[in-house]
Amino acid sequence: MIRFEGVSRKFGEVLAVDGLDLEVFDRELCVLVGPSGSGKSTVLRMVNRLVEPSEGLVFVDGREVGSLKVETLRLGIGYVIQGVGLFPHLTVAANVAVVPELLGWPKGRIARRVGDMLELVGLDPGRYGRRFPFELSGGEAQRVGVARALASDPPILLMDEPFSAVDPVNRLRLQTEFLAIQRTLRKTVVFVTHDVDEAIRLADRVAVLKSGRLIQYDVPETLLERPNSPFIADFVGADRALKRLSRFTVRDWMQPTAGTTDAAIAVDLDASLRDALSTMLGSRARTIRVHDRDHRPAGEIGLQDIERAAECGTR
Amino acid sequence: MPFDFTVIARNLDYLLWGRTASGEIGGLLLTVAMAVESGIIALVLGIALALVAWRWSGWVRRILLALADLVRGVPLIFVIFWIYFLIPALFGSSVPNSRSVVIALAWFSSAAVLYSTLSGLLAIPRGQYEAGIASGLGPGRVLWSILLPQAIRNLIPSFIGLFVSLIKDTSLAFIVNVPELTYVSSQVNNRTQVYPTEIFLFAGVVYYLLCEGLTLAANSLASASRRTGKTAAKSR
Repeated sequence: MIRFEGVSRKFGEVLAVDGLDLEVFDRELCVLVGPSGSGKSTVLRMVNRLVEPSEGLVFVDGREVGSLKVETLRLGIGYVIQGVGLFPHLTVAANVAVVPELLGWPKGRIARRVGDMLELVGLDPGRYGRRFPFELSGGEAQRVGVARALASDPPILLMDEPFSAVDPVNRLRLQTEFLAIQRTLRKTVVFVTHDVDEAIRLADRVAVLKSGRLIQYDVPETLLERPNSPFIADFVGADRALKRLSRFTVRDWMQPTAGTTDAAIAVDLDASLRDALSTMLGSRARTIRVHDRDHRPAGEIGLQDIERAAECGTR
Repeated sequence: MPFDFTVIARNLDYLLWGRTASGEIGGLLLTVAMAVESGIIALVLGIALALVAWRWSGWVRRILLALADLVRGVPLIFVIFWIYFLIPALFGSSVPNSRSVVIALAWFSSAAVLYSTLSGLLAIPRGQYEAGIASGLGPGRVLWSILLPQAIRNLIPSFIGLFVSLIKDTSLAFIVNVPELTYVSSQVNNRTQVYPTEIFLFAGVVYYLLCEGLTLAANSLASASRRTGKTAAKSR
């Protein structure tokens, strides 16, 4: 779907991207991760031609991006950025409607689509549609950003550190929600972050960059189990076994039996096994209660379930 | 020496309207008319030039800013003289003097509008432009419907300030015999001979009330828009 062939980009004397060959597969979520200055944002911005390569070619859907009319290319690519992405002088609904309006959709269709998109990202259209961006919390603003990027149903989504400016609790919630959306919509997503945990949690495939070079491109499990260099091993961290657990949800590994566990020590169905393990260690219990969103008991999960997941390679 | 302010009352009509009744607009009315007219021209022209300077940031912007510097670097009264002598040379002598002053004021103020609008556009976070073009909008469209509305909102106080200076600067039309407030005041003074203090005090108070009233109105407008907090800086 998106392919980089021998792509380099220089800014003055600085080589931001150095001979990149990379293929982002159809309907996959590819996370570009690396320390700051690794060139990950530049790579992302070459897809919608916010940056042009100095050398090499970028293909979208088999067509070289330089050969397409730039506005046409961009209409097929949703773009979510951290910080200033929303237009402050437009309401939330008008922000989401920007691209459909550009495409000349009829008014009724736009209004329906805006409502659908806000609902998709968990915002009540009646309450939020007429607000202005300054009336939103950071998490809400970021949700609107996602809704706007998805409004015209583009096959590709580019996300440049979309959740970085949000506090950790809300970031985790946004990640979970976005994963759920992605499981339904199956867009081809390129996602840039400097946060390894976020990369491992979200990615179908992770590309680790360093000084403009692609160091390793693999599914998260392989990246964690078989880092191809000391740099990767160091970058994913000594806690990589724990990071792997963050890719499993309690829902998939718990026992649906209602045991005799203490109701006060419990994890959410959608929590990760890493969170479950942490709860166990914190409470010195080998088995803990699992509850659903409404705090009703849904089963239990034990240390042996987590070990089982850790031995099994993939989710 | 006692003051006699009845001279104002006796000449009030003339000071406020000049010979408007007989078809020749004058007095305070002409002052306001000239300020509004040149203000509108300066606003439209200045914003249009700022858009051009923003869009073509290379030599086009440099030339425009150099021209603006040239206008701003010369006392307004010289610009008035130039236009006053230039317009008759170009179009014959049929152009009324008030016209050439309006052109001079508009030209002079448009340079200031160009400067503040351009800096207002450049002050908007870069992400706004990027979010616009990444959505598939062309650069012109981003400028017109994303950047300009935000910039204008932030620039309203500075535009009001420019307009206040413009009102005061209309008094320079006095030098080319345009019958606006300052000129009719001096006519009344020449006619009555002995009341200069009263007459020019009155004219000054009128200017002050006009400018101060406008400033107060603008400030209450600005604080109202601050209450709704819609500034680009707070944008996400």
